Amino acid sequence: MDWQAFEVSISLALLTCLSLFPIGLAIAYFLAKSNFVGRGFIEAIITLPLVLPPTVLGYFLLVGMDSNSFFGGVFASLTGQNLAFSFVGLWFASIIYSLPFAVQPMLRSLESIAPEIREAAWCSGLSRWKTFFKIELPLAWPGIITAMVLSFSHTLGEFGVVLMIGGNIAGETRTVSIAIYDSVLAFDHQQAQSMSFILLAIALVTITIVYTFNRKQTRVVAV
Amino acid sequence: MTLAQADTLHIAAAANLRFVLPELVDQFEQQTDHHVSVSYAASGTLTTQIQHGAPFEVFLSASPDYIQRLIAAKLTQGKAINYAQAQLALFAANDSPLVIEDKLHGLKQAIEQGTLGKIAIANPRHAPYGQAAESMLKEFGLWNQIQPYLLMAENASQAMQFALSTSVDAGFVPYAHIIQPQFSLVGRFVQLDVTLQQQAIALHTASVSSKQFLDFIQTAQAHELFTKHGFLVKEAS
Repeated sequence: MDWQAFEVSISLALLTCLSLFPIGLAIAYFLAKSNFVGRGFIEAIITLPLVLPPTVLGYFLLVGMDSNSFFGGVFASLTGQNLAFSFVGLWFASIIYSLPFAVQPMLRSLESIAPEIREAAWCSGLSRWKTFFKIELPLAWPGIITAMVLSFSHTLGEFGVVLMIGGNIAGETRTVSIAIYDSVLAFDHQQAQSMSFILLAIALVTITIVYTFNRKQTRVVAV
Repeated sequence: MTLAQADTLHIAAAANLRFVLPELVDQFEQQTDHHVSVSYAASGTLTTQIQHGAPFEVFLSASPDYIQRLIAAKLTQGKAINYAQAQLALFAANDSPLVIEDKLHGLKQAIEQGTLGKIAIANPRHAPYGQAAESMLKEFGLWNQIQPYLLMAENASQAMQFALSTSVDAGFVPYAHIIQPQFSLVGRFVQLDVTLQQQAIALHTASVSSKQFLDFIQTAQAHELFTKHGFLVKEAS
């Protein structure tokens, strides 16, 4: 069993979902509040990773992270490290790849808060920030939890993008899904099988958590 | 951030080295204190990754062409080393009806009779074993006719994987793979008259341990392992 791959995958998924908490929330809050003409376009861009083939995303990331490109070059000159084929590169890619899974549930739950509640808070003298932390955030919590769990499990299951920009380096970019693929190519079906079952179990547990949590939450709201 | 050990030697290796390299690495790790991590893929795939900045220090290619490309791109250091020659083979699983022999008559006959099933090869666009199979099929005048039957694998190991399937008639695969008992016991094979020059080179990021590794694969001890795994090694004269 390739535990190192699990270490890489779980670190990657945790870091991605923790990074997406502020990033996703900021984007979702901005979108929930605004109603300008280009909003549909912004939402479309955020949802793109959901519909694009991972090869397309992987190709753009590979080219963009190259140290000859602008973005990759700036990163390389700042850190002295190459972004492509590194753990940090995968982390960056996963944030983009899982962005729709974080933003969508957060946005839906923020939008479902009745404007009257917000107005009532303001009338009671709460500042915008206080309203956000004391009123909106607690009400949007189910959506945020869903967003976190989905982006975690989605990153854990990422394959195509990692295949294109990862390079299958042990301890760095060999995630579980890549290790499974590699085991199959190495004719090690036993390892592929046990790792697949573990991933299956993790996926099932996390999705079950999301559904159970969401049902409980709707009941509370209904009461 | 990196989770890997700092003193790890990262090797990019052609897929046909899957069985011999772990043994070589074991011995190398025992003799030196270095830790080695290997990433396997088709030589062309690895070349693309190296060109895009993948942090490998040594490249073991199944074809000199890719090494030349990296030398031209100034991504290497030192000279390329011809460390062994690999051989192409044709493999058919036990339940395949195809007649397997080195002049490809069975293949030709099956095409003419319209009874041929799928034939697995590594993708010639980036896999040396695919290129070797392509040039052989061209030489026998079968390349155009065989097109509808070809199943393109990502690399030589995947071609082997496909060839084991009951829905595939045969595959052009590394000889170094089929002599493994897990494959030779479940099928028939023939060694083909095609060799692939295996070449290794240190990449521009290479450390001292890379040089040691390149020296190691040229020792008599390493040659013995290569020979055992179906590679041809020319002893230095």
